[in-house]
Amino acid sequence: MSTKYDDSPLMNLTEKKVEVNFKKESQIKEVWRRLKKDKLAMFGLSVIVLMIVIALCAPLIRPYSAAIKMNMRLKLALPSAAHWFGCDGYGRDLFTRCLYGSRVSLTIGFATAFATLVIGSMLGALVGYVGGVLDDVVMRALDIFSAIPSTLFAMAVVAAMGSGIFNICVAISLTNIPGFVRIVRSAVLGIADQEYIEAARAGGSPTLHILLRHVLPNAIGPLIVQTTANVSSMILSAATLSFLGLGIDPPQPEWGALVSEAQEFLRRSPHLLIFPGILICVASFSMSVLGDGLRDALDPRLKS
Amino acid sequence: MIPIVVGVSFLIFTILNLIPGDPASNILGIGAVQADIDALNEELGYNLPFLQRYFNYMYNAVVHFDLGVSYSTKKPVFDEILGRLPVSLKVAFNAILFSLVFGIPLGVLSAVKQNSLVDRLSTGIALLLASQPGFLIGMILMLIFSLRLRWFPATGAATWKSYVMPMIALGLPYGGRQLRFTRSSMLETIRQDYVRTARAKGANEHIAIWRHAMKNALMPVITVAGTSFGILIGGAIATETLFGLPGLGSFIVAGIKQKDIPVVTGGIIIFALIFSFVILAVDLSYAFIDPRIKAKYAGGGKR
Repeated sequence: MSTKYDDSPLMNLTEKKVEVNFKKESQIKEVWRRLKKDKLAMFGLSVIVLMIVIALCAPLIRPYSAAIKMNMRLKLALPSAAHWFGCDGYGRDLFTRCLYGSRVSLTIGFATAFATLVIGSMLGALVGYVGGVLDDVVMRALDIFSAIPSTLFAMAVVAAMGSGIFNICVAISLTNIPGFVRIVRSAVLGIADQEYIEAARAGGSPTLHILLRHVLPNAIGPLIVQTTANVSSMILSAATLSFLGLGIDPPQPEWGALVSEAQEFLRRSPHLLIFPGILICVASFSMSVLGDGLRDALDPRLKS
Repeated sequence: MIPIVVGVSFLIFTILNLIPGDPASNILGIGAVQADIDALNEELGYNLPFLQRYFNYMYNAVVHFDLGVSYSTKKPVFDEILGRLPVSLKVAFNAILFSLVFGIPLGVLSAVKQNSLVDRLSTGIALLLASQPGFLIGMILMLIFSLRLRWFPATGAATWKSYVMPMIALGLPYGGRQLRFTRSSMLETIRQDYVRTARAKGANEHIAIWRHAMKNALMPVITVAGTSFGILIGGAIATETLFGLPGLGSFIVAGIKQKDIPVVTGGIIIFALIFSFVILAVDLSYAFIDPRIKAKYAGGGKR
């Protein structure tokens, strides 16, 4: 049996923890409950999950060799039972190329959105919370980045660093970080002078701890929504880069590159355009409606 | 604005400096003699320290309007850009006009008739338009209207007909964006007290919507139109390339592919300059739309 002074802080701690966990879970459940009612958002979510699963299972469906093996006898073949989406200008199976292309496109979309989320939210939270000279310097520097049209900037970065999936991811993330930092910063500015932040600071928490534990979790709503929207726009950015001939190296398939390849045979074989085109639209559209649904679910006041 | 353009030029200069290879080898090609390459590099000032090269470049650009000479065409970059700028501006201006013409009225309409069939249809289509890369609509238009129906030429900039499909291809996704922002801005405004007051006073629905609500809802729409101008330029690059229009975008794309550094540096600086002008124009236009802002600055307050 311990004394009163020994166990009271412990008691307090466990009590607090239980309460925090309970609150967190209930909020996630609450958001999920609201999201489930949004049919369009649920459609988007299921489509994107399905696409990810198919992309992950690609080697089980078709071998990669089928995506790059040329067969001139099948040049521009129309869709058939053996070749669901037909064949391209080199007689390569378009379905397999779209299948493996989805791995590249989705990887770029999600990886860049994640990188933007991590770097952008750290930087945005820091400048929003610390403020002062740091805020001025970083925001002016970001103004410079945003004055360059993002497609051009990404193209210049790819030209300087060379093509390849990793470099494309770096280029696209760089173009999207400034906008993300702005969103996080404005969300953090509203939080920074709240009383619970003052309490944490008065309690002697280090800045990093306050940022990670108190500031960012309270700004999570706009972050999630923006990240979802980012996946959508970054799939399009990657497709545009490939379309302009600055994407990944052939013969590796990627959706934008497939559309670009279709240009040559547009008149005779529009199916080369239609299948990868639809895939780009569907992936981007699904992420957009999911983002809209999440925005409404996270902050029901906005839904009018 | 000037610090931004200086910053952009420095950033682009630095990034492009990382492109492997020296300018002389790029200009002279593969079969060149090493002595010639060295001599040309010396002549171009490539052997100077990086910062000195940057200052020389900026000095020439600002004082002599000289952005260097293209490696591939051997012509001054500034002249090439001047020649191509009208094409790009025409494409961008047409597209903006087209997008505003259908984006704003349809946005207002879907806000007024919220949750009706018109609303659902137009917001759905707007979202679909926003979730496709600009070149996809362009290719579909090209397939239908120039390759099949032969109404418009597929490439080139010979007549006004050449600008019709780029306008639609670029304006549709941009207009979808306008539609969505107009709608959400309108929805917010319609519920304001002053709109209710206007209705209560007996103003008819048209006046309540178009005069009282619309004017106030337009502010965020203009802001978004200005800030998403960069997205429009991005789309314009792909559109110009697709339709073979000799504009600034396709010029830079070709420059990047050929590692023609003066072309790329000069082109991007000009784009950044135009972009800054647009943002400035948007800021200034606030004063005309919202008298409160004009009143605030007319009083001698600082920005």
